[in-house]
Amino acid sequence: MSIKLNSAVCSLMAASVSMFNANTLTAQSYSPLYAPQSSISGQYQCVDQYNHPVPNASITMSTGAYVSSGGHFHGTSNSATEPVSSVSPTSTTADSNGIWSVTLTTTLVGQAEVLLITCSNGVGTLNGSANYAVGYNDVYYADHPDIWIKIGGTDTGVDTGHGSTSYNRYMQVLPPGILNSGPAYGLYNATLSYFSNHPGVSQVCTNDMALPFGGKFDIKALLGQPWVSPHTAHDRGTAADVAGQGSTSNQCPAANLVNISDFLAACVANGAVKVNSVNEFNHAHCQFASPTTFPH
Amino acid sequence: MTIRIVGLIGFACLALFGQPSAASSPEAPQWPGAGSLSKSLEGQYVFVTPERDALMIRVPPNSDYARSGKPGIIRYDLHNRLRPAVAVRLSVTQKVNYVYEYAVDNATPASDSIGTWSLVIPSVDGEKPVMSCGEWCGGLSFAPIIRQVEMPDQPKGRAVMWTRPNGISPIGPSESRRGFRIESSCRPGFTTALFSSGIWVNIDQDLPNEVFKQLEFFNDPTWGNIPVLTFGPMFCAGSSRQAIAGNLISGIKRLLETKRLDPKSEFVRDVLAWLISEPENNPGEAAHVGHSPSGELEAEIAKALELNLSFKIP
Repeated sequence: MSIKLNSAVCSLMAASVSMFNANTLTAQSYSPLYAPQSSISGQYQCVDQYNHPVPNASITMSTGAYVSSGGHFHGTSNSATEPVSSVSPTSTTADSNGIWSVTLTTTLVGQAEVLLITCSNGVGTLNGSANYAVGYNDVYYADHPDIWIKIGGTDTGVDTGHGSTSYNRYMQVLPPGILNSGPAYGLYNATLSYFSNHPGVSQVCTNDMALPFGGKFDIKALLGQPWVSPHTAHDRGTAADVAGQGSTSNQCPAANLVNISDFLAACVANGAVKVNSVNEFNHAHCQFASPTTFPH
Repeated sequence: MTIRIVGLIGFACLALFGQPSAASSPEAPQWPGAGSLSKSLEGQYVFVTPERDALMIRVPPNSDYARSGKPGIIRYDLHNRLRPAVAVRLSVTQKVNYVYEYAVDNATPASDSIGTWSLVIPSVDGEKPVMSCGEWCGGLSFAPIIRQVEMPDQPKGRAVMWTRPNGISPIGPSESRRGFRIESSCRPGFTTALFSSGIWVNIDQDLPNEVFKQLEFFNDPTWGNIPVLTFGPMFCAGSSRQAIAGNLISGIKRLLETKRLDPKSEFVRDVLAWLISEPENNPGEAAHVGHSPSGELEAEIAKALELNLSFKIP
């Protein structure tokens, strides 16, 4: 007799039935996607090869993270301390229908993870896995090369442990009607407003929106502080930095450095939060939602 | 044809979309002084100076921020000791666009300089006003989030902004600047002009969350700016007579409140009475006002009424 895990009856996310159906660990997946610092509960069932429930099966569960996923290219030295969502319980016994309950509690790190499960009875043991990811489902790749020069990545000479400028480029989009559809639009519109006030400027240099799917933007990952703040305000896809006059990093052409006060004013007039949009001396930090509205 | 408007006047806003412009968050209490905090204000960390020219932050005493050794009282100067006045001249082009030309003064009592100013206009799809771009350049915002500070019952709009580039002088005390221009298909209405120094207030992001919760009012992009009622391109195609009348009523009432119009003026009484009653009762009919305008301001209001509502004025 063999045993297989069947996901048809239950899922950690009501809208998804994509949980485990493989006996071996497969490629990482960003679906289903669970929000950072959230708790998801569901039930699972262990069935045999004839699709019959395996009553009173012994269950063990654990979680793991896919290294270098979610834009975190920290190297293996940081993987030992890499946070991963916790599963509860880690061992239990299925009921007479082969069903047991699961609660997954996610961390703040946006990344691909896996739930590992064993289901055993007196006849045999099956190892199953379920891929999922942690992150926000409303952040999108926000790249507009016509108006934004991408900086802050390995391709512009800066390695924060998050790869090229293709990875720090994600911003939140809201349903239509909410401040012109959210932070991504707010920054875009602020940029256009700035251009019309500054003839001759047609591109500005943007940096550090959010990592893919958001979550902890550990800007000092390679400086001994992986998986933690600072840079909290960039965890949600609601903020971006725009290189300003005074920047000496050489990543942004001088002609594209903004007048920081003017750019901040354009951001606020297009929906940014005034108290959290600040002049950080070499860049404008535009914040389109208060950091108190998302977990850190 | 031209309308010339001189003085601290203006017209504002249409009611196509949006919510009324009243402030959504109550303002912080007045700063009583470091040694004068009453028991009832023990949980209050954010204050405004009596002159409304600075935010005062009292750092929560038991916070990590206080323990870090940073100052317990922080003053954020708003750089808003301005005395702005705006005059607008309206003309109509052959393409039946309206041209608004503004002159901005910063009167002598000011102790800060005007470095940026903006005008609230309605957020209407497809309407693209053309702004002047001289030494000061003009830009448009998009989101309809800017309050009609001078007329809280009118809807929020977006902003036409002028800022000065580096190297160009701001409008200092007792100085003035002309050459701000908008061309638009929208007819004149009362609106709010907002003036600021352009110097950004940089709140320390390490302050405790309790402080930021009490700074909610400051997130209003108009707060800390100095508002002035003026005229601007407010009534675009499709504006209803009711919306136009509502705007004109609000503006005229504001001019009466601020004593820029004489409440005993028979022309003003006639106009207000008609605006309040007639747009609904006699839609599409030209209005006949019995008394002539007196003085330049009333004359300019009469011109605006004629353009928007086909007023016949003796």
